[in-house]
Amino acid sequence: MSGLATDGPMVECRGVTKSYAKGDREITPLQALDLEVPSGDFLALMGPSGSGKTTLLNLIAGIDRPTSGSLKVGGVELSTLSRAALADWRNAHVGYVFQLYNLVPVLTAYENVELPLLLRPVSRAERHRRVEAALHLAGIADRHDHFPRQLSGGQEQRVAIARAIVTDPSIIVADEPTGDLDEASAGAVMRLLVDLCDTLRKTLVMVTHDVRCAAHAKRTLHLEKGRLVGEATRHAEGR
Amino acid sequence: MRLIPFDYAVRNLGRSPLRLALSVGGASVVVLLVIVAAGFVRGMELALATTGGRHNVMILGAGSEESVERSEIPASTPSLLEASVPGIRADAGVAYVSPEVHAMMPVECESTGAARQVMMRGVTPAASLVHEQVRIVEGRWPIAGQGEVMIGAASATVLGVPSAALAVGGRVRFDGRSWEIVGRFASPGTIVEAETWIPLADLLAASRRETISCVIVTLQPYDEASGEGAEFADIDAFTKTRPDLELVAMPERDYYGALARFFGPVRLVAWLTAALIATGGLLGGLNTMYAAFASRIRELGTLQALGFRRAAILWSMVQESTLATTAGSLLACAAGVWLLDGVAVRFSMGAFGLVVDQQVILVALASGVALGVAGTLPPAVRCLRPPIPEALKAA
Amino acid sequence: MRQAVRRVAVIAVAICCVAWGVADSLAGHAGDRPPDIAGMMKPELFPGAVEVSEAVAKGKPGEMIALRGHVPAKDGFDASRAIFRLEETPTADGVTPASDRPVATVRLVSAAGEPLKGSVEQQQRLKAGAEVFVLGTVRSGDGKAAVEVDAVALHVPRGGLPPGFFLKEADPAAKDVSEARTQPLKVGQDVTLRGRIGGGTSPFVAGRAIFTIVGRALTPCNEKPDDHCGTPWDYCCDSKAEIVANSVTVQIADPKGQPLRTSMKGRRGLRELSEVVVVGKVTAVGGEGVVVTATSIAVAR
Repeated sequence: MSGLATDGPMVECRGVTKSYAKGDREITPLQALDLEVPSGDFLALMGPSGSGKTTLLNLIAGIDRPTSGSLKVGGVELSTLSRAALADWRNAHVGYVFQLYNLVPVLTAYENVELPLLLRPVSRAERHRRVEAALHLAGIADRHDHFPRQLSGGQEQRVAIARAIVTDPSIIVADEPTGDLDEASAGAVMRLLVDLCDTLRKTLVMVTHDVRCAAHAKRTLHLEKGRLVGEATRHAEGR
Repeated sequence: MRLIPFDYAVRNLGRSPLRLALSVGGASVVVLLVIVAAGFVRGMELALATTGGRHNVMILGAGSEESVERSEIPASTPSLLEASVPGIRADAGVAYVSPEVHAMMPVECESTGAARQVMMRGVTPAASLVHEQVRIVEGRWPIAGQGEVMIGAASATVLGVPSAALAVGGRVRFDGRSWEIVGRFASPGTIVEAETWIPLADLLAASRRETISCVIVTLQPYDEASGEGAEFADIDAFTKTRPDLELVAMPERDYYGALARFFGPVRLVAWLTAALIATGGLLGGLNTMYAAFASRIRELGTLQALGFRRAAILWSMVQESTLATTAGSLLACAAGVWLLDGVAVRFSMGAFGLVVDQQVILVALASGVALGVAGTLPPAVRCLRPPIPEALKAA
Repeated sequence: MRQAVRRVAVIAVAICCVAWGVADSLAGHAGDRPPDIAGMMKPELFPGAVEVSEAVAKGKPGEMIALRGHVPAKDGFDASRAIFRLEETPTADGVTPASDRPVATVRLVSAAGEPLKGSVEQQQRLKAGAEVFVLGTVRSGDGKAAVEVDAVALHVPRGGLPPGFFLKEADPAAKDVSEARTQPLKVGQDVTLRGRIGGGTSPFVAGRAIFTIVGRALTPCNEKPDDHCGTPWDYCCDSKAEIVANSVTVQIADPKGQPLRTSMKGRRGLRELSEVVVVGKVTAVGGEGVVVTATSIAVAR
């Protein structure tokens, strides 16, 4: 199990600001953001390019740290963790699905899925069991010996999803998971994500430009210039 | 810290066969040059260190400790030594006391016309007693007054002529006369092999001198129980009792060992050349590795996003390039043993063979590994430097 | 499987250790086997080694000390333990009755600090009358007549100097070497010469009782203004002929006339440019060189 506190909200942002210097200018992709994501929620983040949605996703995933404010995921205050502690936390609690799948080309589907487990004190047999289960859940078990170059985009994303769930994370973050897929594959991948999160009771935070993908989410947040500008729940529009 | 499986490093090598070939080939060339430098230095050191008998002491003129060719001592020294120092080895009444003249002279191979400076050693038959490493492999000992010489097995290298040009029966020319080669001798692994030996009286006449260069004596090892034999200190003490002769004694091996120090700058130049070429190779390697890693920045970011530490990723990258350079080093070592070991090299004292032994192989492999590590760190660190979100956006 | 292999290895090592220990203790209790002291023997003497009397007077418990003396002619060795005595070496001009000479007791001890079992008499040239150099730690001393030293290293010259070789006082009538050499010296002639050790970069011979001394007519480099010669005793500012004409070679010889097999450098503070007075006989004159075989030496400075 993931081991994170599940009593409160899975994600809790309080006045989270992210800024960085670019040349002489200071860029602030996120400004004083407040947000709560309950455990088991499926949240879609939408907004134009540069609105700060990927920045927010990266902060939630622990691959970036806020400049100010408080960010708790599963009750853990991420802004105070060291780089090494954050790496361990990521491995234990986050599954990341990337737009371009980001599979390691020299490793097979099986080995790609196995990668995050190598950081865990897990026996070889247990690793094998978990990888096979994840591949099976992602519907790609028959391709476990294939290298990424031998797979279609949809299959690659399935492998990436298997890699994201293999560690049994508390939260899955997905950055445009269907952005590089054709319509049919995109639909299949979205259904897979939704099913997995429902079945495995995972919290899913997804960045997307695609309204059809966002339609799968229980809640959709709209960001602009680093601020929340709107929120919609499934089957109901609202600002 | 959990590491990335070794397999990842191995398989990464196969991503670009051309780059792999460049890395392995580049490392081979650089390491081969290191082998040449190390083999040269080792060959020179070994040749000088093994020249000289274990129980031999060289008595030469004070102040000429660094060059026996400059030394001049009275021709009466051998008999004085024999009479004053008990414990010099003797067989059948013949003492192991060899008066010698060492002179560098221009020698010409008559059949080819090639002429170079050659170390000439004027000897008496006693030289065959004190120089135990020297073996006549063909022909016979030269006879004084007959215009005869005996040449060492490496003389052809020194003169830059084929061995056949210096065969027994051939002729060489120096001091304005023609001399017949009546014998060939070997003294494996020593620089004596590059010398030409001629009867002492003939060399005294040819070099127009009355003094000899040195005396080499073989001591009978001292036996405490019987009190028989002598030690170096006895010869040293003898030189103190005859300050008028201005003698100095040195173990023969120390003399050649000191020559090795004298040639230190030459060895330094050899190493410097190798280091410069290796630096060039390293810079090329840096470029290749940077190109290799730069195309993988997103992948490196992904590995970090999955929870791998930067150090673990860096280690995997070091493994990857070190594997390539080690493979190159092994190829270079094989080529070195096959092509370079024993190749004769000329230097001012004569000639010696390049030596590719365990030590040289070790140096070569170490430089290959160093090349791999040093060639990886800068590009790897640079490619790991971007924050993860930035790395994930890389093309 | 791996655990089983490890267990077997541990048991094998333990058995070896026990067997070794048993063998070692059996050997230790054998009693009649002499202790192995070869590892303690050093090929060269310890420069600056003090005489027994000085060791007795100045040695403080726990201090490292290098001393030199002679094993007494009688009762010098413990019969069952590695302990021997060293007496103050009498000087020819200061004879002290044997009973009044300061004594150093030298113990060769185990790692536990106990004397090794078995006598060391006749081991490694240790015998009655032998000259011995000891490097060790002072164990105890009364500051007057006796000191006890636990040795860590020993040197026994192969040709030790005879007792009484060094003189306390230099003969004031000694002639300077340069002055003596103005007249031809003849073989057999008795001489008392004063000179400074030098005349070459290495005026001593390691392992032989022989050195060269130079007269006052020549000035060593360090006494010349603005000279920074690293080896001032080689008199390199003077010609070799001048050095030979102003020096003699001094040797301490065995009955066959060969130099004793021991070093002189470091004895009684002897070093390059030490001024000595040598009493002896001219035993060889070869060319311009003169060899004096010394019967006694006093260190003048």
